[in-house]
This record gives sequence, structure tokens and C-alpha cells, in this order.
Amino acid sequence: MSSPPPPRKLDPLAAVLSYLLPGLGQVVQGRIGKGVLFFVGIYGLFFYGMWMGQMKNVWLPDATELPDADVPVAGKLFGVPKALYYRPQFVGQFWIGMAAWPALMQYASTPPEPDAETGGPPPTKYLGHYMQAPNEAALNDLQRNGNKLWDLGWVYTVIAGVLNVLVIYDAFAGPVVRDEDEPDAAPAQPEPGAGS
Amino acid sequence: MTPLFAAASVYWHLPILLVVFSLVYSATRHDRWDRILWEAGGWVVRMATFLVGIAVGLYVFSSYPDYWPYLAGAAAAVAVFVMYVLPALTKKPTPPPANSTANVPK
Repeated sequence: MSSPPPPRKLDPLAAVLSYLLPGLGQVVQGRIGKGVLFFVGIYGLFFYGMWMGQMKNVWLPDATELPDADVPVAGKLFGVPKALYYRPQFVGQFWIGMAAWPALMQYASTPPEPDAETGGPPPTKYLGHYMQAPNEAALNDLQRNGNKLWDLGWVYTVIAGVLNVLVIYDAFAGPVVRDEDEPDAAPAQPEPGAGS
Repeated sequence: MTPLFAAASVYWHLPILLVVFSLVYSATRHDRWDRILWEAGGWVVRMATFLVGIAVGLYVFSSYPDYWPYLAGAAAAVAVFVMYVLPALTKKPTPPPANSTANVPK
């Protein structure tokens, strides 16, 4: 009978780093290959999805003027929860980390008054229109005149964000399957001096 | 561009999703590269088989709408074979436990 493996050492700092930048926590832990795989794979998928959506499918809308969001248990929603009610995709996209923060900055800094010339939201100082909520006419145009790539694109960005939740867990507590626990793995070498 | 090809062109983006998802998901389950790649390959094959199966099924149903009862019956037979018959045929015998005396010659 083999003894149960020792409990894993949890690493909250690595989890936070992997949230900020996918794979960064694994790199700090010394698992550089996996960190690079996570970074390239998840950022690649996220920005590929944004490219498919003409860089206009990650945003958090200003829902102040929109009709009330009345949720059965929580009641009426305000602020960010109300914005997420109208744009639930961002719940998944948020977990990509810093790459989604421009959407939060746009949400916080875009003035509610539309631009006099274009009728859309005015560009903000540093980000311009990047990850800014499009107005209704632009949104209708994207969905009506595209070839469904815009829709598939936001799905890719959501999947990338949700995949990063698994990466965060991997940084926090290690991989789901501990390879040394499996029966066909090589037996662990005894530590020097142990059992003598 | 024909309408069929125009509709299908969106799906050329799917292999990227399959490969990235499989690699990242498998890398969160293992630390050893051989196991990561082996499990990722399995996920690619399973997801591609599922998607291609759905696509072929929809294509056949839309191409031969008058024969849908026969096609649905054939699809159900294939599903039963894959889910129940094939696993029973390929099931490996489980070895007896180490302390079992059932097969010890007297």
C-alpha cells in the first residue's frame, strides 16, 4: 500500500499573475514551457477572436439609460451588474486579465453624450474607440452586413477568457492530474538519507 | 462564390479553436509534455469527429428530406452501436485483485 501523496502547496501569487497575464504564474513557478504555451494559446485565441469581430466585440456598455434589469432573486440591477446583464459575454471575457481592462476603462471614462459628428460615442483620450461600446447603428451594421464572423469572434474571446480560469487554477494548485500519482509513472526516488 | 461555400467559409476558423482549446485544456491537466500532447490529440479527434458528424448529419437530412425516418433510424442504430455495442466488444477483461485466490491452482 502506497502512502497518499502530500497535499499540494497553494500559490495565490502565481494565480494572480496568471490572471494578469496568462501563463505568467507558471513562468514564475519555473514551468516556463507551459507558461509560454498558455500565453501564446490564450492571447492568440483572444486576439484572433477580436480580429474576426473587427476589434469590436469586447466591451462593457453604459446601461444607465437602458430599461431596468429586473432579476428574480437580486431585484433591480444598477451599475456594472446592470451592464453585465446587457452584455453577459464580458463575464467570460473579463478573465483574460489585463487585455480586457481597456473595456473597463472605456466603461468608466466614456461620456454619455454622443459625438455630434458621428452620432456614436466620442473617442476617449488614450484608448480612442478601442474596446468602446458601439452605438446601436454600428452594432446592427456589424451583425447585418457581416458573414457571421463577428458572432463567432466574440465566442472565441469568451472561450479564451474561460480557458484562462483553468490556467489560473493550474497556477494556484497545479495540474488536475498529478502525473506521479498515476500507476504507470516511474516510482518516486527516495530522498537521500531517508529510511537508513 | 456559391452560397454553400460562403456559409461554410466561417468554419475554416474552427481548427484554430480546436487546437488551442485542446492544448491549453490538456496542459491544465498534466505537467508532462508527452501526456499533454497525447490528451490534446485525443480532444482534437473527439471534437472534430463530433463536429464533422453533426455537419454530415445536417447535410444528409437537408439533401434528402423525404427519407428522414430511414435516416433517423440509421442514425439511432449507429449511436446505439457506438455507445453500447462497441464498448462491450472492445472491453478488456479486468485482472483479479492481487490477494484473490480464485485462479490459484490447487
